[in-house]
Amino acid sequence: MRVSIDQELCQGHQMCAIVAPELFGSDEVGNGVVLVDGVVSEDLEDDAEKAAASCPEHAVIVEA
Amino acid sequence: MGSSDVTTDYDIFVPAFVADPYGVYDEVRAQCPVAHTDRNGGSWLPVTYDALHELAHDVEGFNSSDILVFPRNAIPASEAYADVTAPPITSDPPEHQWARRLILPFFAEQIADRRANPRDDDLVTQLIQADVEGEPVPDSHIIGTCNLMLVAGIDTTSSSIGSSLWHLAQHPEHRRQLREQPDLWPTAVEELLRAYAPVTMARIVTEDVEFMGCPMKAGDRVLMAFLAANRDPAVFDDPEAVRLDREGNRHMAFGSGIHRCAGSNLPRLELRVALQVFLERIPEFTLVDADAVTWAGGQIHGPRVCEVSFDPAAAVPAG
Repeated sequence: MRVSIDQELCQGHQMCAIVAPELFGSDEVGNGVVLVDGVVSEDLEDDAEKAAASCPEHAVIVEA
Repeated sequence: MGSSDVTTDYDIFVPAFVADPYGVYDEVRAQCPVAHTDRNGGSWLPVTYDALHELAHDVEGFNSSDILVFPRNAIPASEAYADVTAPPITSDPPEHQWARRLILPFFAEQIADRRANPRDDDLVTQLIQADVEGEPVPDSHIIGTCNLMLVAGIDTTSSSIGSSLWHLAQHPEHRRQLREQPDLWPTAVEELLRAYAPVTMARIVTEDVEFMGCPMKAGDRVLMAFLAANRDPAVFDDPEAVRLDREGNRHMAFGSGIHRCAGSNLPRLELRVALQVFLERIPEFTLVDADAVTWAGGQIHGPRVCEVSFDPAAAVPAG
């Protein structure tokens, strides 16, 4: 599984970082950044899905 | 509102609406995605998540900076105030002109002061030194930003904190849940924001448009009741229930799109700190009289009089 953030859509709500802090952080203007080089370990797959479901902009993309 | 049809006749200022806006939103949503009223100068009221989302993202069709903070015929000495705009909020001029006459010159003084004496880590200084696509930020824009900073964070956060405490006063099981599972705080804050979103923003229609079947005219006002979007059963499972561990909570308490609340992460922190410290010091408290609670009306939702009681002997001392 891989995750990425569509920066065109990201508005810096921070929901991904709140829900899955091991996968997402934020840059200096508050927009989301993907940690761990986008590769999601098996134990974090649930968190990745939750993060995608929590983004009001649908900016978090999960590729199984 | 008696027996009138709420989809064509609502009033966001009457006691019945103020005490229970959710009931009105649910009633409208069951019939159509957007209600309309002629009251209070007329407005539209979209109540589905999809409608609010679409509106928020159509910044060309729905304008957020159309209201002049100082109307043309009442401009005080400085030209800098002439173009200061704001989104449509309750009590736009003439109601709050007297307050703006006091506040805006104060902001203008700050700008003059920072020009002469720039400061580190200072918002006004940063705005003076910034540029937008190579052009300096006009004074009217800096004043508008200061005004927005002031307005945006006062009754919004206090409403959110108030609503959350009103809720926790009635739900000992949630107080216990937070005490026993402190890791839940970030999710709990988001759920309280969803359930009790304090802000109803608004827009002005830019040009005639048919929006979700509604014939909107240029100049029409459209309320953005994020509260309604946050209770939409199409998006939120069992939306009436406050579940502090709710997942997939893509609420719109802070709006959506490029105009999402610029300060959103500060109120998140404020809400968490306020509630955490309150619960640490006063773990058990109840509403004195649920029927005596009064609520703010209009575009802000939050308790204004809310008495709680607690046993002083059970309170935890500071330090």
